[in-house]
Amino acid sequence: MAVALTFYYLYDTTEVTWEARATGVLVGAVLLCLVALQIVTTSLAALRGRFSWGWNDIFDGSSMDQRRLGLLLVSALFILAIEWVGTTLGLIVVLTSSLLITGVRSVRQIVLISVITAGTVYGLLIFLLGSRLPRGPIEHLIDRLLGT
Amino acid sequence: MGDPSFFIDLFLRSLGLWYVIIPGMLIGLLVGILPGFSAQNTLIILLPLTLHMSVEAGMAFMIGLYCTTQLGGGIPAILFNMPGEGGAAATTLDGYPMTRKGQAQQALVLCFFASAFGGLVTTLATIALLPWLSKFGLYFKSVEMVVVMVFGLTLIAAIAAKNMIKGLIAGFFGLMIGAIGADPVYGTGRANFGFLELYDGVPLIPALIGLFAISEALVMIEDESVVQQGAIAQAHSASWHDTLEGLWINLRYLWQTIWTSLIGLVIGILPGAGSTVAAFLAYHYSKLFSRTPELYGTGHPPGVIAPESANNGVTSGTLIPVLALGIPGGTTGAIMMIVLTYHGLVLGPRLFIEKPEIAYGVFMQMTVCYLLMLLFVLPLARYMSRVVWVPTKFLVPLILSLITVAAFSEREYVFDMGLALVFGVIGYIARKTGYEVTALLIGVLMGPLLETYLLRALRVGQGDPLHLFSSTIGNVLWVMVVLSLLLPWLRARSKRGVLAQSQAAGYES
Repeated sequence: MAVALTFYYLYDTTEVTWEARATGVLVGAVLLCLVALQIVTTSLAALRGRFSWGWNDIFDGSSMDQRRLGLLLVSALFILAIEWVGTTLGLIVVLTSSLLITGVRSVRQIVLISVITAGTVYGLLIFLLGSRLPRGPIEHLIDRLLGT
Repeated sequence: MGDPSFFIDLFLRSLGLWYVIIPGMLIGLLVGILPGFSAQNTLIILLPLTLHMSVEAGMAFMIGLYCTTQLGGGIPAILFNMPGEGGAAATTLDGYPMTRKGQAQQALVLCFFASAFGGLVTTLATIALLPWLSKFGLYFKSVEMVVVMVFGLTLIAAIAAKNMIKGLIAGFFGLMIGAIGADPVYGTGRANFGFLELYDGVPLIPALIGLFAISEALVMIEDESVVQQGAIAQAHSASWHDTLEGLWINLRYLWQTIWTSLIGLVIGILPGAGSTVAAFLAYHYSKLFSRTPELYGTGHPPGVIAPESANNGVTSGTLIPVLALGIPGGTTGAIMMIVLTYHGLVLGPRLFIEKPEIAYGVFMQMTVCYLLMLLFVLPLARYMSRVVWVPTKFLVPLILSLITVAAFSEREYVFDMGLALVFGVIGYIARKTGYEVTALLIGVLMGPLLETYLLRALRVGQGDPLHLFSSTIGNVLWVMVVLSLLLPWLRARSKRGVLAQSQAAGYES
């Protein structure tokens, strides 16, 4: 990631003045050297059998990783859909899905947690503090009921 | 003004404003706990309300809110490894390990007492030294600010002590991320991946939320509870005795609370530095001068005390340039300036002659606020610490969804919610592969600040790098930077020497 960002930075700033790219070039050069050093150190350790190459530290395909991936996916979908479904409905759906993913099975607990949390966010942030969080069907319905 | 009766009268009048200070404190506590919600944004939202109050009541309300926000930020930092404010990011380093060991209540007491006492010390110091302190900020020009930022960057080396290469990679990767966005001289867009939302650079709040909160939630799910398996019984058996024990530890480190809070005061006066820089610097120096630096990062009480007293020390420092010079050092100062000028007050040295009850009254209200904090917030530690008993299967979904919403709050862009998620993944990978997310955050935070001051200094010096060594204060600070880098190395060397001597003398280590 560090190497990719550095190369992208260097490529993107080829035509800007030296003052604008000086810091990035300097930092990027040091970063590339450090990454090279780390690769050499790790390779030597791997050759000596102290490490093995692979992704197991980050993702080993266990049920825990599947849960984690599920949570990330649900959060990403929530962000993508929030402009259409609105904050309150989006939160109810994302919380229900996330609680199911983490292993909560009690319908009462799931409904209570989702609705109370989404309601608190609506009341505190949207209604009281006037946050511009995306509005959807629930927010519009409440607006109509309150005549605002 | 040297008359004690003036200050006693002012104190009593400030105490009489408890009815606005306490609601301000409650809102501040809530804002501090919620990552993404800053004191600045809340003060802007509540500005119309404060304009309808008398100038004393309006300022007391804002001060109550502002001071308690700094304290509130430490609560999620200690309980869930998720700083509520940037200033509490350093608190996670030792606060969260204490929670994992079943000492959440003690850690919260350390945080609350250090915050309130540190804030109290700096407020009283400000009242006593105001004429001198008001000129202090003027001595710090771009050259001196470059050295202050380099000071901040030396923290990366300190954090990287466990694995130097990985720590430095994380720090420089953070600096690289910090270099994204418009350059401070010409405003040319750089490496913003085509997103207009990144034109101003990477926003700090989504980065903080992602690197700390989202990545921690993704790791937290692996255990049934936030508290380590063996420490659950200890966490459940915590009583008032633990609160008293926390207070006792605070008293043992009283001197450290005082000097780290003064670091906060100095940093607060400087424009643009802020509570995050102050907290990390205080942590760094607390570790540097400690007899047991190896305990830092493992749940060591001074590691909680230092950043918390420093980030509260910043609060009075922020107000000094506003009142004494009429120059706001940051957003908070600017908002308070609006309230004061709205009521027809002329800020600057004349304020202290024409309206001393307002000028000194602001700091007296701060004193009252910190005293009320000690009284009302400290006992809450026992009840707040119980949040960690909630199983992670409930906590993780709640944290993930609320934190994603919180990322929206600073700039009100849905884009920032996605950005927080991206930083969450980066933070998770960093945690799993042994790269320090704190070093990464320091890079993201310090990168743009360093670049701004460096380019400004170089322009003043017409491109001559030697201009960076042209000021006396700057040169003294450069020497301190070098010393702060050399000292840990020298101490480690002498420790090894002592160890070798004792082994040679027949004592096994």
